[in-house]
Amino acid sequence: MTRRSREPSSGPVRARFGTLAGLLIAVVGIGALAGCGSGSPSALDPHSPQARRIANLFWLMLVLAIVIYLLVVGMVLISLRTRGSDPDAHSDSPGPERRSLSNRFIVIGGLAIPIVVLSVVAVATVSATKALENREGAIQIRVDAEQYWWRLIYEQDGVVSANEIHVPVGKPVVLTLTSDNVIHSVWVPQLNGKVDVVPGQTNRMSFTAQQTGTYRGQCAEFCGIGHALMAFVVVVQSDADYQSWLAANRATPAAPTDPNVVAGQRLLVEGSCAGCHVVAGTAATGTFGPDLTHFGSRGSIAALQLPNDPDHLARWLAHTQDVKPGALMPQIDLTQDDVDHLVAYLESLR
Amino acid sequence: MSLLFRGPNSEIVPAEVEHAWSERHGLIGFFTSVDHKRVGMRYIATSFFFFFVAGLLALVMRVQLAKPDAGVVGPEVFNQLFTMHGTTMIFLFNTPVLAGFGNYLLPLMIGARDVAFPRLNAFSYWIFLFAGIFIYISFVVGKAPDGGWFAYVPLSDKAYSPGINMDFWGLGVIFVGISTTVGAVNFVVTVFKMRAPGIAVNQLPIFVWSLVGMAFMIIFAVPVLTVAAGLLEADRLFGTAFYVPGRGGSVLLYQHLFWFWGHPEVYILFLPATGMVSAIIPVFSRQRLAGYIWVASSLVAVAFISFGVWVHHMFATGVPAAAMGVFSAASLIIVIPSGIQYFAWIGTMWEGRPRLEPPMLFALGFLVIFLLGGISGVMVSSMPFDWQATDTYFVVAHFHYVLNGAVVFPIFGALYFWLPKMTGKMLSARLGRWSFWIMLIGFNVSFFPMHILGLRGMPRRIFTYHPGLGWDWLNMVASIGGGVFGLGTGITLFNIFWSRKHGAEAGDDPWGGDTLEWATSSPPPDNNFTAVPIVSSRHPLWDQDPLPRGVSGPAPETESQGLLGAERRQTPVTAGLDALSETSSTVPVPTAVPFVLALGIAFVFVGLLVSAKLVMGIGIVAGMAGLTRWAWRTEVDRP
Repeated sequence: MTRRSREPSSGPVRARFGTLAGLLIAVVGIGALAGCGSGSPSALDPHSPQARRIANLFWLMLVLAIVIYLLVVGMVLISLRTRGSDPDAHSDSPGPERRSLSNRFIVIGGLAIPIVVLSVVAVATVSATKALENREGAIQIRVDAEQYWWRLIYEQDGVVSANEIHVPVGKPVVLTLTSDNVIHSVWVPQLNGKVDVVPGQTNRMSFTAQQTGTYRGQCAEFCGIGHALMAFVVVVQSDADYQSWLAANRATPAAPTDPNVVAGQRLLVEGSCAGCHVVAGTAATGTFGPDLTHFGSRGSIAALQLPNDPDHLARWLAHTQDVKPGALMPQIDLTQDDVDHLVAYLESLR
Repeated sequence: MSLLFRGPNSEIVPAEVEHAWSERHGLIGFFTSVDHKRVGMRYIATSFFFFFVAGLLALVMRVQLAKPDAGVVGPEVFNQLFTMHGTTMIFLFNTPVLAGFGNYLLPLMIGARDVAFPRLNAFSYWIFLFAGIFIYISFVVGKAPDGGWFAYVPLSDKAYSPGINMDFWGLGVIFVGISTTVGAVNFVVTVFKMRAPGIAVNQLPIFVWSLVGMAFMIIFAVPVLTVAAGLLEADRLFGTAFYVPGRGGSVLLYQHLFWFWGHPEVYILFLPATGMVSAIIPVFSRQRLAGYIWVASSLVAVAFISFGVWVHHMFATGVPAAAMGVFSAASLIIVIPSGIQYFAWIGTMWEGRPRLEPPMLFALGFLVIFLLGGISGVMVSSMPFDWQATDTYFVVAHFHYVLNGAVVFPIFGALYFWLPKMTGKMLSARLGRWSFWIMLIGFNVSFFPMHILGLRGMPRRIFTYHPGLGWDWLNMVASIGGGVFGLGTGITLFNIFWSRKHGAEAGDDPWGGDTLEWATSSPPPDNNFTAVPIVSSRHPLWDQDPLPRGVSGPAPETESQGLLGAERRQTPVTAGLDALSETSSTVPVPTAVPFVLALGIAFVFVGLLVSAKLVMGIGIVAGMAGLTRWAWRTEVDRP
């Protein structure tokens, strides 16, 4: 059997397909790269060996993907080349299948090449999985996922905090993840992949931050109305800073003297706040909401929804459900004075 | 070159035959028809209605997400929107629209006068319609499901979703599952027993193979979804604790059950879409499909392997790594059958002379989109990368490339390809080209940036995000693309209505097709074939000219094959791999019984939803009455 003559030509349709494919390829590399340094919590801007390992795996797969995509789309385009076909449609009878040719296409393109590529991916997967398997660490922190915030318990150090995970740089950290409500997922893209927090079981996640700094995390499993607003940060500190943070957070705050602050404390302890919040050294012992003992030292309010300063805190207290729809903290009727006193007290808790 | 082989309609239907197959008139006719073509058209029309509704829901979400901290909708509404978008697209569009094409085309492609169980077929449609209405009533009463289309426990339990919202979902998917399962059984029996004499299994059109694969997957997978949702509803309505940790239940049990259905479901949708591509590419390449045996085997392989990959939806839940490895490997292996099909298509075009008519354009769009979705699928099957990508926009991008790109594009191609057969009118090729290019551009502009958003840390299912995270402009681009894509689909919708009035006559075979549906008129007469085709080739219309037709003999095996069989509402029953004549079966006359039974079941579900025993009672009585009548009636009844 002789090969039919091929007359490659570039029809406009073919060119448009080609342009589109080219654009797609260009956008993926550049766009993903541009994520670094743009303030994004990008998985491709790793700051731990764990995240770096995954990012490298991605880059390997991306290179393979681009090569395969270009090759295969190229073949599709070549197969579309116009031939000198009979202009009379009715005589355009279908050709016989050439078994040898179709078998060659299928065995090489559909079987051999995928097996090689998939084997590379499989080996890379196994090796990365093994590297990430170790979940032992010097620093153990319990993370209880709540609707819609994070309770942090440093059991060895007697510290309870919320939404701001302080860890020392260069030390392996293990987060022990539990939930007594719905499923959540802990995800700090720059430090490691995500691990679900599943009620009824304890999962573990580990990372070793390589650089001091603040890394944004967010709940990644749909957990209800407040899901989008359930963020947190990992604050990576030098060992000395970390130790002094621990010490400060272990201490019981001194009794207030400023009359505004005293008034705020009375409101909190005697009002409904105390039903859900702890302030060590006072009668506020509710554990449903975040521990407020060192609230003033935290950087944000309501799981990263507002920066922690008096104006924003006042807004949070007066417009809780507007700031964070679905928050389980009810809207409490407060006078302007009440708000001012509470703000003064809470910001004094350092 | 828009028309290839258009000729006049050729099927001659004598008055006796027409009378034997006549439908009742008017409204009664509407409720009593059991004709697979009418049922198929209704399936397609109803599914497309839901497609456009769910598309509008998506556009509202894209408007909300176009800018950071936007206030178009709040989280309550947004959660309803994405829950209903997913639920609608999976249960009320993708699955039933493929069932619709299958319903319409399957008997025609195998030379039968109807499916094996026409009344069951009508029943299946009514259930689908009622389930769709049932689920959408939730919007009317302002209580749409809001726990995600996957309804993970404990969030979907009574404790965290106390409203009636998730009951609409839980009962709704059980409800619609009846339709899917019944339809699948019908497909399997139809293909196994109702093929015209001579259509050996290795001569079946690939689209039919894909429907059989789909049907078997449905039969094994959908009951598991029914269990998952059934136990959820038992927990919700009757206070059992199947999924409640601390009371002996397990949260992950739900996820295992859900994804044991959920991943095969992806292939339930995808398989017929590839079958459509395997039907379109050879016709428009003027070339027999390369590697028929390879492709058919791939479909069967996919159907099997798809049951071994479900845990890849759960890589981040803390399943032990060694166990995950198996599922990771299976997820990689399932790529191979798809690769085989892919190169069969390339080989077909390579050898043929491709013509870029609208159906072919959509098939080509499928090729470039599915390739990307398949590649990103390989990426997420690698566990460590999945830990970063899962539950982010990267996955949203991935599965829209597969479920929107690689399923919807073939479905649109199928519309341009087969709608002329169904209506007798050609769609405008010019509008088709506009629709295709706008959809292709809009699709990529909308969904491609989502890969990058996911890598940049944007989780799924968030109703808003703060500025400064590097997500702003990408979201804006994605939203604009979504609008463009919607416009492209709208052009085809317009085209469909336009063609009813202005479309050129299609004739028997406007595209020069190879399979039996092109051997009869467009639209086909109620009896499909006055005398059934006798097939001895994989491509009967290309190889058998003239196509031999059956002659009614005195024996029951052959009685149905000719004119006499058509007069007696018969269709041939064949046996074995080679479809040897076995007997003749009578196609049931129009009846409202399937409608009554489906309505009874609808009452039962509404009764369960609102805990009204009376409503349930009415439903049970009506359903039992319908069933009794169904059983009473023999198949030789005459109108």
